[in-house]
Amino acid sequence: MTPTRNSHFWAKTFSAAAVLATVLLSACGSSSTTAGTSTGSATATPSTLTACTVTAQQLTITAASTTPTAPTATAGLTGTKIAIDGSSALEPLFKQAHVPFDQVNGTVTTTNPNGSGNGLKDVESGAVNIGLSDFFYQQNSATQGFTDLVDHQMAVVAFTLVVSSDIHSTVENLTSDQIKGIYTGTYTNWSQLGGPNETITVINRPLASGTRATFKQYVLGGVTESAGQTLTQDTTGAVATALSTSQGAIGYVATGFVLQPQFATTIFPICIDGYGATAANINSGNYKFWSYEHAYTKGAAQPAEQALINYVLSDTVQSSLVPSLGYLKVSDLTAAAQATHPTP
Amino acid sequence: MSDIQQPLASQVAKSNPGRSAGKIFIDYLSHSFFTVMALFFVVILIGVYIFIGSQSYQTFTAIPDVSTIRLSFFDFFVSSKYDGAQNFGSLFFLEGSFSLIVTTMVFAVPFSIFLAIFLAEISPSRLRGPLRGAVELFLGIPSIIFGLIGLLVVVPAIRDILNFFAGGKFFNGFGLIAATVVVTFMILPTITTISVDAIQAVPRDLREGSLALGATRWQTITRTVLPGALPGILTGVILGIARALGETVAVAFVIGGAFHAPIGLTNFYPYIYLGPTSVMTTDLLFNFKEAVPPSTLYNTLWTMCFVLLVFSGILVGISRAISSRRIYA
Repeated sequence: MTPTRNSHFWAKTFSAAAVLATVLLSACGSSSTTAGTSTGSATATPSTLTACTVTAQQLTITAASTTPTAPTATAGLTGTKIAIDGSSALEPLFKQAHVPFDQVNGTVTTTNPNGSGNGLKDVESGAVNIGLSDFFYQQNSATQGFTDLVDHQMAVVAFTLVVSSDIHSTVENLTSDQIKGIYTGTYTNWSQLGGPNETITVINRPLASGTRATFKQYVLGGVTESAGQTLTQDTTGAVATALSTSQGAIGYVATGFVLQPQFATTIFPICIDGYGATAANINSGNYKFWSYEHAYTKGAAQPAEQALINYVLSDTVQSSLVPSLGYLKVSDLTAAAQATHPTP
Repeated sequence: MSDIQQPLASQVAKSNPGRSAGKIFIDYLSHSFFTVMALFFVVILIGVYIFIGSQSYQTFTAIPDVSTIRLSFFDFFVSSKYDGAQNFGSLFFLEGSFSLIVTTMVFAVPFSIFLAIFLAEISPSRLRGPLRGAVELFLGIPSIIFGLIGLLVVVPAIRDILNFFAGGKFFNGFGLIAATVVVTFMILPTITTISVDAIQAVPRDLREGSLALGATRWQTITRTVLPGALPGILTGVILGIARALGETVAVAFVIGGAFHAPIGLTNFYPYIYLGPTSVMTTDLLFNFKEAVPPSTLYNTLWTMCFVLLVFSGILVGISRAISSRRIYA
């Protein structure tokens, strides 16, 4: 190959690259002009967006210690296997609590966080001993026939609506009606609520998520969300990550997430109807976006299952692991709070 | 190659009387072992199709009760009305997957063919090795890394570009464009490496013949080498399509997962919807984990699985039909 031929081909390569670049650019240009832009029409709603402020620090749950003391041994449990499946929100509590329990009693406990629905299904079929769930089994059409399950309420998980950093100073509080409007597609721009002129990016959880079921029941009042516009993120962690890179975004996470240092400047909790997700507001019955964390057994609990449940409900676990993992105690709930979440 | 028959163990035994009985026994043993393994593989494949097919059929045969409704083919394949409770029209998932394939191919195919021609024909030999190595390294990057880069770099960049042109904060960057960018980069090396091999496999005689007849090097590439390499290049493209169809994790990070069709239709012309949308695989990823049987959601997810399986099977069939063709016999 001669030098002259080589230079010809370089020239041709560059011209081809130029053609390609032109094609790419023109394609980009045309696709953005065919955009179905949604424009917000500003309505003069009296703004309640800053009527209440809640900070991540106010959601902090203080734990006396992070390690529980070991239980006293229950006789006759050595070698018993305890299989646990279900809610990924409650699984961390059992995952940590079963370690000292197993050491003392010689039991073998395994945990698998496959989701609340699968937990209920597996305990009903006898595949596991304990099924963990974010919701009452009566609340899901696929599990409502499992009437022989026995409920043990282990903890309370509080959830909070969170917004992205660019709107956290202008959107600090939403009413239930505004939230319904956002999640059903009535409001698509923050200016419709008296906020900045930004499209609302709504972030939701997958259809069968236990957290989504809680949100739908206690915040949306059972209204079905709009199908079209919302982003779906697989896990609470993914919701938090998507919020941290989005603008004008709203989503919901367990309160433990807003306390994590990596999200301190990217996601911000807001109030619902003037109340933040604090322990005081939940216990007083004013803040309803929380759920019991249930451990279900098929029929009355067997000795090993009962011993493990009793240990998780004991003072030492309830004052160490429960707060340090971000849960509230069931025993702290007032009658007013319990009245907002009646057993179906 | 195929016209040379490998002798069977029994024939070897006859023709080699000096071989020990033990060696012949091992020969027989391994022969039957490999046969059983191959048959086992086929049985598993058929089993997968039967299992997923029978599961998916329940969508259309389920007996309606409190937790399940029965859908018609029309409800599922032709409708786009979806809310996950009463309506399960899944046409837009199919539209999403096919739109993603088309947009990805528009960018990936020309780019990777140019890259392959450069690597195989034009590149100076000093550059060829490192470049080829770079492309193959690209091929090995796990899809979750593409997804994370997509979420943290591509999505915000697309959001800012779209918002700049739209003149306000209207877009969030999730959707078909972000998925196209991510998947294009994922399948570029697939198509490129297969195309390079196909181009290099074109016999040297043909190139020399073409050059000897007075064709320029460009004429040789476009009229002799590329036609000869076409079956190989098309095989690469089909495998790229299969990967774009099946890619889950990286797409799930950037597609948005909204129940919205990727192609809209105004009164006059179709347009690409620039907000979050869905493809078949992300629907499965998001919803399968917590879907509980018996429920319509659970049944429809299996149906989606079967649709994916059938399409990937068709793609493999097409690629086999193409790759068996020879331009220069």
